[in-house]
Amino acid sequence: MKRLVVLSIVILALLTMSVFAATPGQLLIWADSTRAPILKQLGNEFQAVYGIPVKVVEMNFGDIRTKFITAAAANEGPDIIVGANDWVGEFAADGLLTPITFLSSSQLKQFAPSSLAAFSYGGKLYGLPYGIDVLALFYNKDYVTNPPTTPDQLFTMAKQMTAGGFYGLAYAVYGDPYFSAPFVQGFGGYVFGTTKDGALNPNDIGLDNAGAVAGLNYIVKLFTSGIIPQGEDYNTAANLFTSGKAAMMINGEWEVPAVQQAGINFGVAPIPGGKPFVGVQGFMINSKSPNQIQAMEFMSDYINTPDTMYKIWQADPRIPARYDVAAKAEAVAPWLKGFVEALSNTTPMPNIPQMASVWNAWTNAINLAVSGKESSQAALTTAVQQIKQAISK
Amino acid sequence: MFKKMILWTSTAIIDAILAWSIMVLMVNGSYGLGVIVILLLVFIDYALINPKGYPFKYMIPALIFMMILTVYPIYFTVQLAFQNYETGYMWTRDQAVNIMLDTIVISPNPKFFDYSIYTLYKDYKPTDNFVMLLKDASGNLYVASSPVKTGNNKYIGNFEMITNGSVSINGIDYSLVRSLKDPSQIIAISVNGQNYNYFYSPSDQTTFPNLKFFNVNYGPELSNTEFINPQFGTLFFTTTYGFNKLVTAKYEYTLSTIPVIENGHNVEKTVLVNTLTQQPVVEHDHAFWNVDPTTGKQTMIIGYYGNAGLSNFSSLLTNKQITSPFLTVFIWTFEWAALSVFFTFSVGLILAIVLNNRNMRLRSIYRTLLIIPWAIPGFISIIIFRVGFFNVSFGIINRIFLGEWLHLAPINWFGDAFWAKVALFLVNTWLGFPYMMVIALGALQSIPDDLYEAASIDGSSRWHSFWTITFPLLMTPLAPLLIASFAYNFNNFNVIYLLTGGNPPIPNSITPAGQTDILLSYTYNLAFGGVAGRDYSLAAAISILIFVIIAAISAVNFKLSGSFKEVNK
Repeated sequence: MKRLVVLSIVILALLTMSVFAATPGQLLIWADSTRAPILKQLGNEFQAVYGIPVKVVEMNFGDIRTKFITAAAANEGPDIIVGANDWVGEFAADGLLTPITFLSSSQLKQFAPSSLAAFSYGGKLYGLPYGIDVLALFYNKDYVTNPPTTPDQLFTMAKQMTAGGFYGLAYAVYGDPYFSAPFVQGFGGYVFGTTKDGALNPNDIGLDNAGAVAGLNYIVKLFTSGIIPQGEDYNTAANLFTSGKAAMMINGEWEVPAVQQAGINFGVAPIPGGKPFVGVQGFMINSKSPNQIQAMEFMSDYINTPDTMYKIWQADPRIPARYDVAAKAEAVAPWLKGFVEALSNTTPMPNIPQMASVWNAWTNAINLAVSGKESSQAALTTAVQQIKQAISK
Repeated sequence: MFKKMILWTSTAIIDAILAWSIMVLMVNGSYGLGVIVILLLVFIDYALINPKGYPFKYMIPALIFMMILTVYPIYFTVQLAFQNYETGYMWTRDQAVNIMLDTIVISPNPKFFDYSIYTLYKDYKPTDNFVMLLKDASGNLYVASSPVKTGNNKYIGNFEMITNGSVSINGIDYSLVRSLKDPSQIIAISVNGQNYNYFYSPSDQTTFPNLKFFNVNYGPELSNTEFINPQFGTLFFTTTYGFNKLVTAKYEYTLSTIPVIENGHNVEKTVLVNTLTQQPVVEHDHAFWNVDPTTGKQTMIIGYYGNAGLSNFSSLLTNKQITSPFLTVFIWTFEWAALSVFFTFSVGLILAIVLNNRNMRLRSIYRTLLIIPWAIPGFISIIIFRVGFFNVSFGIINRIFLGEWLHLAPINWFGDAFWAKVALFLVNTWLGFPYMMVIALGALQSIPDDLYEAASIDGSSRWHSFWTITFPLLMTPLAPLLIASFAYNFNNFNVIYLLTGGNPPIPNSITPAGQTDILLSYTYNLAFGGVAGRDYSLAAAISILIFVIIAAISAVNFKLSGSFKEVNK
């Protein structure tokens, strides 16, 4: 008999897997553990006024993306998800998201333009941004009083300070072009150009133009002059700075707690002449949700208020996407100022599916160039050929 | 008798559960899993009812798990390999059509309507019955009838302009009831003589206490309703204006029939028409496309998955992007698998022979210590190796062993193909030798000592007796395990992905590939490599190809080594 019990449990379990589906008259939100508590609290407030119950399901951040694709395709997704702007390309291409149209033009002006651009796809806004990740220049105030303002100044300052196991500048060259992109793009390179209507054009790749080559040459120069040691990746770069062995570091605001904990007396400034990518976090509405208008009301009346956005910032301290929230947060976290300044010259991480073909080729080109195997020009030309090949598939 | 009754009732219960699940699966379109459950049902009934099937009873639990965890995924993978399931093509055709039919666009010059809700009270409590009073920008009043459900979560209502205080919609009379004190206040709408009282309006703060009731009881329905009037257009609550006001909008696509010429005959065909451009939507390449009426340019609206025939397999053979570095990757995958087995087995065997020496003291302590690499989760040790040992500037090997002790130039471990491979073999040997040592130890203990005694009496050297006694006797039990280890390393994605990530890159290759990429990591990059696109079908096709290769190798190996021949037959 026991076997029968087990058998029926297995089969029942298989057939009742879809318990987390959206139902009319109730808002279901998928969020990760940093955002879920604040959303639960907001959900209770919303229910008290609007009468619509809000249920928050806590998931791993990475799981939200993959599960949303499969669940939404089976009409079993949540009404709202909290996620990153680089999901938008894939989701929108599959028709999984409802465009965000409830923000008036004056409301849109409260947001950093790069945060809105990052959540747009094909000319439509698909997410309500709240927090931004951006790279900036951390500097150790014990060694640097005035942060450099031009790339040349950065190079000379770093060069002067580099000696005997102490480095002028630390950053993760290996492994991820994300950290090299500020220079490549700052010198005039770009990943995808834009068409007249502002959409990204996957046939216009600017990673081997004169600016991109100049940018990569600048990075190679950092190596050949010994400022950046061979093999420096994310962990080694962060370690050098937090242990006081590097005067400056290129990194994002997520590294601030570690730097503070290490007791480094630090300041933050925009990367001289740099144009980093921005990654943006925000709220998105499932296009198959039966509660789209209710979801929209929740987002416009409860999420998109300075108070809520400030509370979200406290729970998840990225750079606030709303200027008024950023100004309020700077009062308690002065280092935010450098990051907010850095936002003025940024480019959103391309969210079109073709971006997938770029990362590998670009990583390889940077690695080949900085290890001296190929010239910057040759490595980038090959990379662009690879990307074009992959896109034309 | 009692036993039999239990048997029959339990069979009936199982059958009922299975039959029900088959029905659910079939209704939901999961035909594959449905067929598998049918097979299960037949087998279980046979095993339980037929006395001859008695021995099979004990296989039922295992069989269920095999069906669910092995057979179904294989079936699913094969099915996927012949489709075009990838980013942009995630829906079935029906779903894609429904998504298009659900799309609402606000009219180019939208008109807005304010609304207020009038509800029927029963016992002084509001009910689910309501009508709406609408007001346009120039102050005209309209009545909107209560929405009627037309489909899955779709509702339709009608609205008409009020003239002389009353109007009739679909045979129901609506008339306005004005306040006696202040005739500008409409306090109720009389519906066929029954009064519906003023209940809620988003522009009247005094009604806000009723907001909750509105949201819970009317909201879900109103958010999915279209209000139709042939003269004034169609009104929706939209995600742009929420429940603040109604706006003229329409469905972006409608179904309509158009005459087409097919095989020389005029036929009526049902097509989707874009209501903005009045152009029929065209369908090809597993997708629907909008046609620009002036330029004729087509833009994709939405894709759907379906049978793609052999296209995934043919692109494996003809797509230059995939085939060009394929040979390099293919050869390295074999080298990697074969040499990994060789190194792990050699090191494991040597250690096993050393540990098998009974004269050695503290044997069990050494044995335990040597198993530790196996007990530590692989991904932890791999990452420690990558960051702590092999880093070019900061790794222990370059900085201390080579730099401080031997005064040699640092090795660019992951920048140079040869050294990257060396690093991989070092790490994989470290991870794999304890397993080989353990199985070799077991096999060594089963070799009787008198064979060695006889050999030493005959004057055989230890070296000679190793090759003539130990090795042949070891290979009989170990050969299948070595083949299994080969197949495992052939697909050993973890070590490659975590240690080198396939680096260093192959210069000048058309598609990004690394010198240490094995087939699996290479195809992982092709199919899922990156942030914004997945090609599940291509990945499925490649995994079938990898399966065929491994199956062929294993079959040949088993045949040659005779591992599956039963002993003494």
